[in-house]
Amino acid sequence: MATPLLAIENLSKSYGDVQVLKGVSLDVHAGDVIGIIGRSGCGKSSLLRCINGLETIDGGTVNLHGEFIGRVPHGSGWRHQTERELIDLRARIGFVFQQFNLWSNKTALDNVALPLVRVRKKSWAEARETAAEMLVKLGLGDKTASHPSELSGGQQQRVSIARALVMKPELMLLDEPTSALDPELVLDVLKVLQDLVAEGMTMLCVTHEMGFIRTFGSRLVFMDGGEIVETGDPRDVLSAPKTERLRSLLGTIQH
Amino acid sequence: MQFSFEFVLETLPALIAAAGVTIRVAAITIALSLFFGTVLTIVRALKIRPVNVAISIYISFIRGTPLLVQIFLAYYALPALGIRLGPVTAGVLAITANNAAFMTEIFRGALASIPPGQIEAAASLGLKPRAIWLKVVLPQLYMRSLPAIVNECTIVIKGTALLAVITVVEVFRTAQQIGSSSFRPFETFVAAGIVFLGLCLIISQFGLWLERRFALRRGT
Amino acid sequence: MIDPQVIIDHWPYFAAGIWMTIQVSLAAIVLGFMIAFAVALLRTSRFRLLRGVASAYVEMLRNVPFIILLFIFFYGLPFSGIRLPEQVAGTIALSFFASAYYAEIIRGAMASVPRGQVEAARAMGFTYGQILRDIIVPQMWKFALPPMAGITTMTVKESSILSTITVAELTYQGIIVQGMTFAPFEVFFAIAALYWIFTAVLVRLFRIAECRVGSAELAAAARSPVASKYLTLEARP
Repeated sequence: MATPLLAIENLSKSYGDVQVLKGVSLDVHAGDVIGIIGRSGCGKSSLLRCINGLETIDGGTVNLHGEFIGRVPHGSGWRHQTERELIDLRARIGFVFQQFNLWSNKTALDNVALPLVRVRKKSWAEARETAAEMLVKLGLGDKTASHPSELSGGQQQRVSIARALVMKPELMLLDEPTSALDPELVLDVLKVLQDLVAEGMTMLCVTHEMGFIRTFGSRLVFMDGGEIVETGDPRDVLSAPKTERLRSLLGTIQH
Repeated sequence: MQFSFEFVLETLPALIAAAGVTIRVAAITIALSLFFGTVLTIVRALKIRPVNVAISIYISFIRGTPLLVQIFLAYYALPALGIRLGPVTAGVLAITANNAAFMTEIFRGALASIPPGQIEAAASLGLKPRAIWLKVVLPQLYMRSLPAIVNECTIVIKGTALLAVITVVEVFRTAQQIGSSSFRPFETFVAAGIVFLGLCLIISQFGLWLERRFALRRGT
Repeated sequence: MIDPQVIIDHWPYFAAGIWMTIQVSLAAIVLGFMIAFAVALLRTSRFRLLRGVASAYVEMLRNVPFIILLFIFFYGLPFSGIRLPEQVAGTIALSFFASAYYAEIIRGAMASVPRGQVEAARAMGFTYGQILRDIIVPQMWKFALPPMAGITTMTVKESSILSTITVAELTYQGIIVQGMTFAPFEVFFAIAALYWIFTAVLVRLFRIAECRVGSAELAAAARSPVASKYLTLEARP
């Protein structure tokens, strides 16, 4: 078996007394498209946020291409990485938020160009050119000069994906990318994600879009109470859930 | 000369004694401002155009001009109009006039935050305006304004220091006197600063205590 | 009897006073704001010691009357061997005073910038300095400007206290003219009117700036208790 792109081993995380991740282990190989489902509070968002160090890890490890993220060996024990150390690693991972989180004081073009200028140290001219190309590719060529407040939810999310893609990440983390969208706008974003899958992007996607996962996902992970309860090929897991918890979850979601 | 912390401590008792004047002036001022602020708020609610315009001008003047100048007006300028006031009286007048304006503005904000439904309920129960004011509006007004009123109290306390300029013997003036006779002005003023720090912190803590005590009753 | 001629005759004094007040106030506002920015950053530092120092600084400057702070600074300077002209010392003291109030406004305004946008930048590998420069500072003005108007007028009014260390600003000139003319009512009323105009102009300028930066939409939306916690941090206008 090839070494995984991302190896999560025994990951634990608590907020005060509440343990939201209880020893989660997951291997992600290049080209995998993993859908993570579960009820709210099961830890799926925390999992994603631990992977790129937005949250600190209390136990276990996260390994990107052999490099530890967030919690690194230190002498005979472990220590947390500082924000400075996380910068390079974060630049290699794309993160798409449920609430888009576009920078409202910048145009769509500059939202996509800014990371290239600041993190990749490119010139504004070069960055804007690359950004424009990416926005055209995602069907937003006429919106480059618009501010986020002038864009629909679906357009904002696509800009947000463009912003993440333009950094050429090795891995994309998507935290419920379509949950904040009106139903008619969801398809636009799913179309973009579909193209990403076709290009071979490695993706971890927390979502409720079962249809998308069944068609395009390579693996489905069901989390409950901070643990991975079921995992496998999406078509198998969705048509024949093994646990009662998953069955009841699927009962409440259209799929 | 070297800075002497012992001297700071030595002067503290004298300054704390002088704080008695500060506290007395502040207390009278705050009481009067609360009273006049309330009166002005009720008058404003009557919505008599010329009166409200006058009140607005008054508030704008107070907010737009320095307290020191207002104090000079009360002490030096009023005699020109035939009103001769002693330093303490002039001081109380000036700071009260100053504070009442801000109290009125605070009350205006608090008034706007009272749910109108409460007034309507009281009115439909047949309560007379006087009763509505006394039993429904004012208690809520004061409770909602409490943090701002406490803040105003610290502002009044700090304002009394300016009365030294018109010869009122409170903390700052005492510090000036001790400072010049002892040739240690720095230490004395540091001590004065400590006294005010103490007074203001005590007031803030008291305010927090009051808020906590009334928090249960508010239920908003 | 009240005689406005007195004011007109001594106009040069008032003009000089206004000019000095403007210089002192503007310098104190700019310097105070810069100091405040540093203090605000310290207040949100990861290190408890820095946070504590910044908090103590703010508490001390806000709970002591400015006149006493001024005298402490002025009489404390000789100890450190520095001799400054009154105007400079007074302006610096006023800057520190103003900074304690501006710092709280800045801190609140920075925290009011939507956290998600800050997080997105973090997730992309921005340094904190870059986040401040590109996202927080550009967006904090619509939160900061309304309370800043109040603190700025407060600073202009407190500048009158510099008259007590013989800085020749407007109030001092008023005292001088009063001493020459024995017309306290006319003189102090004129002084008051001049301050009144100055502060009114300042407030107007802030309102214009607030419009350009979008504070109005904010005021309408932010009737929430959380928002007013940040929006009412000023001493008062």
